[in-house]
Amino acid sequence: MGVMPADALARLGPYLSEVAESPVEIKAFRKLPGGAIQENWLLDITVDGGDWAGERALVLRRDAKSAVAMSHGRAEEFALLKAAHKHGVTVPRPCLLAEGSAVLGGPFFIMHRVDGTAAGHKLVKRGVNEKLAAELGLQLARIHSITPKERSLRFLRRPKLLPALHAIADYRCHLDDLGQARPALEWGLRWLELNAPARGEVVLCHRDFRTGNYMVSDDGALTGILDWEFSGWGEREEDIGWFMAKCWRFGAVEQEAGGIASRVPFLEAYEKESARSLDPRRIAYWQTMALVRWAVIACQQAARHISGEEESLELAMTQHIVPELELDILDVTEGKA
Amino acid sequence: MRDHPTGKELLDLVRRIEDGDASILLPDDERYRDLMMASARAIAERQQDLDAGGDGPEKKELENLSGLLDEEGSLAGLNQMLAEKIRLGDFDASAPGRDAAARHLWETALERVRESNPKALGALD
Repeated sequence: MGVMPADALARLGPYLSEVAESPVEIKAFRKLPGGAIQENWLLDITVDGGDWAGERALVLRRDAKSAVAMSHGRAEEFALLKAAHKHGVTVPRPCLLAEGSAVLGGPFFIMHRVDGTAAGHKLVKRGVNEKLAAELGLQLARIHSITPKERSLRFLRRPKLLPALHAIADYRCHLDDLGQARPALEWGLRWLELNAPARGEVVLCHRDFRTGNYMVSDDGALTGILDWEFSGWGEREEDIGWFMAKCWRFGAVEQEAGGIASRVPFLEAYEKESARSLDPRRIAYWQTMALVRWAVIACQQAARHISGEEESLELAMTQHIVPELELDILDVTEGKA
Repeated sequence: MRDHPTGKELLDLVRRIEDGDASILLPDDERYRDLMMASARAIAERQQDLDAGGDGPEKKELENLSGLLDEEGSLAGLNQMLAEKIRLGDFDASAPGRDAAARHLWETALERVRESNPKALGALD
């Protein structure tokens, strides 16, 4: 693990020196754990002079071997990170993007490193943190202040269908591709189809805004919102429902705001920052969608193990969270006769 | 219908890991890995216990499905048929058989949670 070909590494130093217009020394460069879709590499450098002068703690992000077609490329993710930063969202500050394959064999970008932990099971064990929940509500409202008017995000396609119906069509395709019929998930999808809410405002959805994808310092403060590779235009309640879904509370099921607090501080801060009042029925709808979405992703992950593409204990066990998700889906869609 | 990897397949995977098969990816955290291996073994044991005597939950599921759809066939085939009918709206709120379909889905999911993670049932109403 953590191996970068020597020739690639030999090219990175000179490349950074060229961009910084000053000699750069690489002090540390190693792969960080996790990252099935994208690889994150810790990168510490010292820059002699110029605008970047001094010690820099960075992260280099590039595609992993098993990158999925659904996620954005590095150039798009970099643009999203920059747009979020510009709108006051707490993200790791983006530094530079290398689009070609001349340096590391594929595109990559570099961002400043943020401190803390993102591990959901650790964060929920720290106990209720209403201040963090409120901060996340405020941050999500800032993300949703980005609209299709943002010129740098013109590459994002606008859904022609209602966002909910678009998602349902996608998930049905994924289920068909998997080949094993899943009547309970079909039940959930049919309910979602019949109960789709009216069109809402089109905003930038992060699409993976949940506990596990933001960094928190030792004293409980938010240091950065991560993983922008699935972002796109949608409805604000999609992100809110995903964040509050039962499957992302890491066992702290009583704490609806991602396992870290009740829904109140999170939603109050969101409403205050966005100057919008939220409809609890739309949130509940997207919470149900979140359960279906996660069940479909879990089936896809297990399929990667079963096909032999990537034999993994974790992927194999992911299939066994699906029955519980199906029970939750049936419970909230009147599928309990 | 049971998902793959089944309990037996999970047990084979755990044995390969114990035998040092380096081709299987494992979580970095050792404690987390041990917990996962214990869960995999437990799923296999529960499925084996439920199947003892040849009258396991899949037999009951097939009987229920056959009654619900009024068709004979394999478990995979009848599940496919049920999934298609649900997608087409044949079991929407006012349709005959809607409550029977809901009951079947609930019981099947409950049975599978009993195998995969029975602790979750304690949290249900």
